[in-house]
Amino acid sequence: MDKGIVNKIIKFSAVDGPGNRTVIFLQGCNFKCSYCHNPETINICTSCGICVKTCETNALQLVNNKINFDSELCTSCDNCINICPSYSSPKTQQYTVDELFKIILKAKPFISGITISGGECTVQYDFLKAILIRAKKENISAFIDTNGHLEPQKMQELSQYFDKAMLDIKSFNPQEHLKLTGKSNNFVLQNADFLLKSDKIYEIRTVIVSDFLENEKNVEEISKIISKSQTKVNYKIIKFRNHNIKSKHKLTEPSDKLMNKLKIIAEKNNCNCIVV
Amino acid sequence: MNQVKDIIQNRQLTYNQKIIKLAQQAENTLNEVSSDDEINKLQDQKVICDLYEGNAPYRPRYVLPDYEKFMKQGSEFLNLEPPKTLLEAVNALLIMYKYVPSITTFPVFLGNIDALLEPFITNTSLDYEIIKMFLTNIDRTLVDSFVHANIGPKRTKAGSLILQAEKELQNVVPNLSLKYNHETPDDFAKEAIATSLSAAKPYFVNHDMFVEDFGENYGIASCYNGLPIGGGSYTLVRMNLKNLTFDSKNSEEFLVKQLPAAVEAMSRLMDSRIEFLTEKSGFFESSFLVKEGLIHKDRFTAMFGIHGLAECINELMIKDNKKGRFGHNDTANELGETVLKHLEKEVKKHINSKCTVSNDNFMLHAQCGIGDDVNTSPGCRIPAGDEPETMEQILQASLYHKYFPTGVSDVFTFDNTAKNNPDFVLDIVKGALKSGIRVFSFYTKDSDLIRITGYLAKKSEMAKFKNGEQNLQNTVELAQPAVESLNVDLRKQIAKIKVG
Repeated sequence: MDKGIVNKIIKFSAVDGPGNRTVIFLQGCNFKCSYCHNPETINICTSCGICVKTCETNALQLVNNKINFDSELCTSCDNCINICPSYSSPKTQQYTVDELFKIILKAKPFISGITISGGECTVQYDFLKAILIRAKKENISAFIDTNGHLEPQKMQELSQYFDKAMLDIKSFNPQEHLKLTGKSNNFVLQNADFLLKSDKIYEIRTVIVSDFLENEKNVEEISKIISKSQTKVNYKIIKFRNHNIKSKHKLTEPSDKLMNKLKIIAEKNNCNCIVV
Repeated sequence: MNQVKDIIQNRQLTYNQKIIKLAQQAENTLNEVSSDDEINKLQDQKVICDLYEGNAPYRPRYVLPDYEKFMKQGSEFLNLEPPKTLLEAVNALLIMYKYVPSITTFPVFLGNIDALLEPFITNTSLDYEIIKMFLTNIDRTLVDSFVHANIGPKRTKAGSLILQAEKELQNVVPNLSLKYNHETPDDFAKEAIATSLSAAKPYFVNHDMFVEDFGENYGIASCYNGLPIGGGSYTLVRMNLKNLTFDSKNSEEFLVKQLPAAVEAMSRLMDSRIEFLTEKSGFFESSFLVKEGLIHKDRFTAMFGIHGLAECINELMIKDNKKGRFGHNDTANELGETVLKHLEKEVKKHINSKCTVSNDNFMLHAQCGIGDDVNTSPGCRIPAGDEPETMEQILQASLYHKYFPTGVSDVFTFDNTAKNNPDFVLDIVKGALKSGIRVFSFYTKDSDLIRITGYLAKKSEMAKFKNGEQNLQNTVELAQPAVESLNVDLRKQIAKIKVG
C-alpha cells in the first residue's frame, strides 16, 4: 500500500463540499454506471499503448511496456481517454501519502479541507484510510465522496477517520440499482442508515435520468430516509447531462419541469433539496 | 490650436468631458516642469511616462481629505454646519466631493463612507433609500471610475446597506474597497463577496499590511492606491521596466547600470513636478481644504510607479541565456524579486524633503497600465492568459506585494458556480491575504461590470462607445482600448468546471 493511484488532483474546488477544497480523485471504481461522466476513472491502465499514437504532443510514450506520461507536454485534449478501450486513463500517477500531503499542505491556507473522490475512493481502502489518518494529524477536515458500496463493517471503521461523507444513492430499488451500476444497493442503504445515524453525512445525491430510472419513487423514498434521520443533510438531485457518456442504454436528460416536481416531492418530505 | 477646435467639435465627448480636455490643453501651453537630456531620452524610449499629468501641476494628483474632521466641524468655506441626520450627512458629503481637486477633476477618495454615515443610521427603511440615492448621485455626477470609497474592517449597519445597494444598483462608480482583517466577521465578508461576484466590487484590502505602512489613518484611493488620509500624493510617474531592458546586456548590467540611472532620472522629474506644485502653484497657500485643516502638506508623499515587470524579467532571462518565464519558473520569479529589491533600494536613496510623511522618500506603486500599453503587463502581474494555477499565481504575486505600499493588486476571474459557494471565495481571499497579497479583486466572467486594470467599466457601455456613442462615464474612453491591449478577456477563471 505504499502508493495509491491518483487520477487527478484539483487544488481549488467550489463543488466538492463546503468552502474551498482540494480534491483527490483516486483511480478505480466498483460500479459501472450507465451514465458515468468519468469512465476513465473506472479501471487501472493496462499499458496496452493504444492511446500513445493519438497523443499529438508526445506526452505519452510506451517504454518497456509501461506508459510514460509527461504532464508538462499534455494539452488535455482527452484523445487518449476517448480512445481507451479499458475505461481507464494513461495519465494516472502514483503517490505516497507524504507526496500527497506535500501538495495539500501548500494549499492549506486557502482551503476548508480536502475531499477524497474517485472513481470510488473506498476501492483503494488502505490508501484512503492512510490519507484520512494523516489529515486528522494535520488538523485538516477530510470528506469522502463515495458510492457507498463497501462492506458496512469497513465503512464503520473508516467513519472514525473522516469528517463527513458525500454519499450517492443512485436508486432505491435494488433491481434498478443493479441495472444502472452492475451492483445491488444493499451495502449502500445499510451504510446510509449507519452514517446518517452517526451524523457523518454532508449530502446525499441522486442523478435523475428520464426514460431509464423511476425518478419520482427514488426521490420520494430517499428523501424519506434523510428526513427520518433528523440531521441537516442536504439532498442534491442532479440533472443528467448527455455529455462524454459511453453507454449502451438510451438515456434522456430530464426536463426542468421534472426536476422542479422532484424538488417539491423532496421538500414535502422535509428535505433541504438542491437541484443542480 | 487645431486640437482645441477638434475637442470643441467632437461629437462623442459630452460637454463636461470637453471642459476637462480644454483645461488640459490650456495647462499644456505652459512648460513649468523642468527636464534634462537623460529624462527626455528615457521619455522618448517610453521608459518614463508622466501619465499626462500636465505641464503646470496646480493640484496634487491624489487628495484624500479628512472627511471625519469635516463631518465634525462642517465647513466655513462651503457654509455648512456639521450634519445631524443621515440626509444632512449625505448632502454635506456630496457637496464636499464637488470641491476635492485631483488630476481627473473628480475626487479620487470619498472617505470611509460606512464609518462616516454610521452615526446617522436610524434603523428604518429610509436608511437604505437614502444610501441608494447617495450612491446613485455619486455614480451619475462623479462620472469617473477612479472615484473610490472605503468600508470596513469592522461590520457596520451602514457598511451592509452600502454592499446591498451596490449589488442592486450595479453602478460603475464608486470604486469600492473593503478593508479586511481578523476583525471583519465572516458573514460581513460574505456579503461583500456576493456583491463582488455580482458587481465586481469591493476590493479585499489587506488592512494589517496597510496599517503597518501608514498607520490606521490611511485610505484606498483611485485604482487601489494606499495613501495617508489628510494628505495624498503630489504626483505619480511610472517606469516601464520592459523598455528599460533594451539597452542592457544582461540582468547584472540592468541592475547596476540602467536601473539606478533611470530611477534617479525619474526622481528628478518627480522633484520638478513637486517643486512647482508646492512652491509656485499656490495650491497649498490657497485651498480651503488646507485652511480648514482637512489636508496638510506634511501628509503628502509621491508615488514612484512601475509596470511591465513580467516582460522585463522575460527579456532578462533571454539575455542571461536562461530558460523559463515569469510566473512559471522559480529562477524567473526570484529575478523578479531581485529587481524589486534593487528598485526599492535605489528609490530610497533619493531624498525629497517635501515627502515628510514617507521619511523624505518616494513610495513604490505597481501601476496598472493604460490603453497604450501593448504587450506590457500592469505592475508586477503575470500577463493575462498566461497565469498558472490560481494558487501558484497567488503565491507568486505574494512575493512582490510587500514592495508596493502605495498599491498593487491582482485580478481574479471566477466561474459563475462560485456564486453558489461564497465560502469557497472567502477561503481563497483569506488564504491570499494571509500569504501577503495586499489587494485582492475579482469578478465573474459573465458580469457586465468588469475590472479593467484597477478601475471598473461596463462591457455594455464599452460596446456603445466603440460604436461612436457618447458616454456619461469618462473612464470608458480609457477602458475600451485597454480591454483589447491588455487581453482582459483572456484572464483565466477560477473553478471553471469542465462538464463530463
